[in-house]
Amino acid sequence: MSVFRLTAGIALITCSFLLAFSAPSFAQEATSSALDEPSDETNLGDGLTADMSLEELAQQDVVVPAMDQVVETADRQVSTVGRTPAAVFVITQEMIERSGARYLAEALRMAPGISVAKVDSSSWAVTARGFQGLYANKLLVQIDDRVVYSPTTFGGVFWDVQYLPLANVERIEIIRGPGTTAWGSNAVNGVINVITKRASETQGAYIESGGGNQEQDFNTVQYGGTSADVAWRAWGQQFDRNKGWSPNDIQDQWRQQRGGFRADWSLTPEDTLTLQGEVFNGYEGERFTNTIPFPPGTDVVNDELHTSGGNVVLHYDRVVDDDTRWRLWAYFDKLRRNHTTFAFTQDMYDIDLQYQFRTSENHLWVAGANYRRVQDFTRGGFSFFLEPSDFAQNWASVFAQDTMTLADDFAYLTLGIRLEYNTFGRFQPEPTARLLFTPSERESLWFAISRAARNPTRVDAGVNERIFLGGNLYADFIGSRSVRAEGLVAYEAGYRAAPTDEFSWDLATYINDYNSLIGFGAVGPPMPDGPNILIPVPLKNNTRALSYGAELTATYKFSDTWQVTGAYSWFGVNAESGETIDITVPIIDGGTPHNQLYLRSSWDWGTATRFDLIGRYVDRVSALDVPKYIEMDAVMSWRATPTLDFSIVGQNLLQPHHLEYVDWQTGLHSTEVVRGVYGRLTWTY
Amino acid sequence: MLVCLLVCLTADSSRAQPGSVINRENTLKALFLYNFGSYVEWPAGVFASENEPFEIGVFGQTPVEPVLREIAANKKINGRRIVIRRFASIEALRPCPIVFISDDVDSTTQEIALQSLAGDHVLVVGESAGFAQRGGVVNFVVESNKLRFQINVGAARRRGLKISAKLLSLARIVGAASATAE
Repeated sequence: MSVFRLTAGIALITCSFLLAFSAPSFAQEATSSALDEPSDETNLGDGLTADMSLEELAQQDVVVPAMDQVVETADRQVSTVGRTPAAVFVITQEMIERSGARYLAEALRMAPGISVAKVDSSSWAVTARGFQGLYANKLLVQIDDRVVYSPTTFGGVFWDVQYLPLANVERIEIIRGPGTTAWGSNAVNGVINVITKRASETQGAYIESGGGNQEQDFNTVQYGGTSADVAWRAWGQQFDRNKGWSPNDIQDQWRQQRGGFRADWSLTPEDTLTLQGEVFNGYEGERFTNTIPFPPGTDVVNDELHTSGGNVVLHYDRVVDDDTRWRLWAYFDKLRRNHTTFAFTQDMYDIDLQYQFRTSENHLWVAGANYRRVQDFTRGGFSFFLEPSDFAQNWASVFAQDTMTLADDFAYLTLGIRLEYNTFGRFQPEPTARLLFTPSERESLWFAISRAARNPTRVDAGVNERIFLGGNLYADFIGSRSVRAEGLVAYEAGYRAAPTDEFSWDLATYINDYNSLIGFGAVGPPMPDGPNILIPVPLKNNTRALSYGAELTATYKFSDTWQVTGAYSWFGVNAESGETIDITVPIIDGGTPHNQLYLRSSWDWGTATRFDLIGRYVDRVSALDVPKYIEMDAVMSWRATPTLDFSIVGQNLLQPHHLEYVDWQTGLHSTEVVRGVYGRLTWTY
Repeated sequence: MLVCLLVCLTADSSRAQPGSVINRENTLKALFLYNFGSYVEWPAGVFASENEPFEIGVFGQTPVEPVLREIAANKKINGRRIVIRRFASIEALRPCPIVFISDDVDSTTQEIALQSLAGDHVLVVGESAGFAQRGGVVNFVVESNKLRFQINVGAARRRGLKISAKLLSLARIVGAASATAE
């Protein structure tokens, strides 16, 4: 009911947007504000320019809180953490470097509200605010605006193929809570946006080499150069990762090779064009239980998963002034995954246009349109197949969002809506309303109500997955085109402050009301299939869930050389299903840890030596019998010369091995995370 | 403009410590030093000719210097181009219209520097506790997260410097006793 009213309100806003769009006045304002901009020469960074008057300088704060960390993901415009009415967390390059993480998923462990659990050597179950699983399906992950969740199977992210030289990452912006207005369906529980450095920032040679007992060997070679108006870099990397621990010696070693490039053209001072791309190839050992149509009904398969793919992304950016900006991007992404029992190829085409402009002093607009097409070719077997085997899905959407200044430097209201069409989810409105108060430069308070949708994936819309029950009986989980989109109404509130220069903290809270979650419906009449009997279990939108939680982060700087930072996440959920027996409810209720704690202490010894100690506590995963654990990482790095860096990284030091997650979606066997130590050398020239 | 925007963005994020703060103290000091040039009047004869550059001396290692050089590359003071002189040692120190003595210089050497510049028309600026009371003209202090400066009016007068009312209005006046004694 309230959602309906919200939608209607936002529809009005959309109309006013259309009116504003046709008015010629904003063009004039845009040009006049461009004149007020300081020239390149006088800008000294951090908001200071040589043109400032004596009085202006006297007004400036010496220390500005890290709330000024730049964020773009929340509402698709350049803003800061302190001015973002959403639960945002930014992982900077330095934080990645100091964490010792070698994989994108590992770097996310430091973020509040994000659960990261390793399933086997090459697989992670990563989610935001619940609904964890090997292929958790309510999270949108993007690398330089390229969507990397896969709608071809379960709607999850294949973290094994999201490998890139982490040294090239400028920052990772993490938004917990719905980001569907800005980014479209699937950004239901969160958005993770990986932003890589511009080619101009990675000039010269970069070589990274290292190895250890788990990260057996890894090498990266990169070179960046500039010719005329084009800055570019090209890189290649390779690694071998050891198997995890298992009582029955699962051979889940993993190796991958990857190469990529990026080129940034400065066409004019206002226009830039970026072309980037990569190709990769990898092999992953794995063991899974496969259902077979004859006795004994199941078979344990030792497989080698072959992954390959690549992508090309073209970005065009036109910055007219601080408030007026065009962005256009298009990409093609190919992914192949070949298990012996299931294989697919997925081709994704995407084009996105965005325009940001100011209609008056108090209204900053962002509007845009997106089209995406995903064509897949799948090959399954008795245990798992999709119907039809080859299919193309389409997405088309438009969005508009107005950030209103209600009171200068004090209160802001953001209203936005995305109208999206998807082949399976049909028409979905995805509105949001966000209110931000900034009582001072050092604190902000925000509230948000949003409605988000998750479109059914190919699995939801046409899977046949068989599970052996006994004798000649098999359960047959059946997806269908009658499955609709899942909905969420999220109520969020947060507060962040930097009361002193040494101390800052951030609290985000939420209540998420999910409806039409896809669960399993009433069992149908048994169907004979050769000598076997299949018991059909249809997928249905019959589950509701209410989740709630809080995420707290804090940083205290004891001195210029020592700081401690921590994140605590608390999560709770109650699901209920319309069916008398439902296996999705216990998985929703107990498939995500309820408590998580992350603590990091960062020391600098002089200018050349850094030492970080990281402690992690993760609560048990009750539905999957995964016990709680405490682990510790230690990272010591030493800058031998300005160009040469050595580091020693110890990971999961407290136990020889520990279990983090058990897959409940595909039958993949878990291996445990093994204590690891590796050495690393980087050379930049 | 785009280049500027990108530079700002990348500069911000690379300077931000994990979850910590951005410190703009050095940039603000450089900007104030540059502004002092327009709000202080030097006696005739300090500048030999119309074309003589405006020299700002820097004594001691300080991150203020690169920012000053950045300003010097693009700005002028009263139509004069700005030249930054770096003095590596007390022996090398010589008078400029403005000399900034960083807190990298130990207090004994600061004392010697103040004495050696005592007879010249130099706006001696420091950033160490008690610098203005010890005979320096201007001293930077951070007060409730703002960059403030103390001015020793007596020391300014002794050096023949006329400080504009606007600059004085933003300053904390110190050493008034010695000023009236004169």
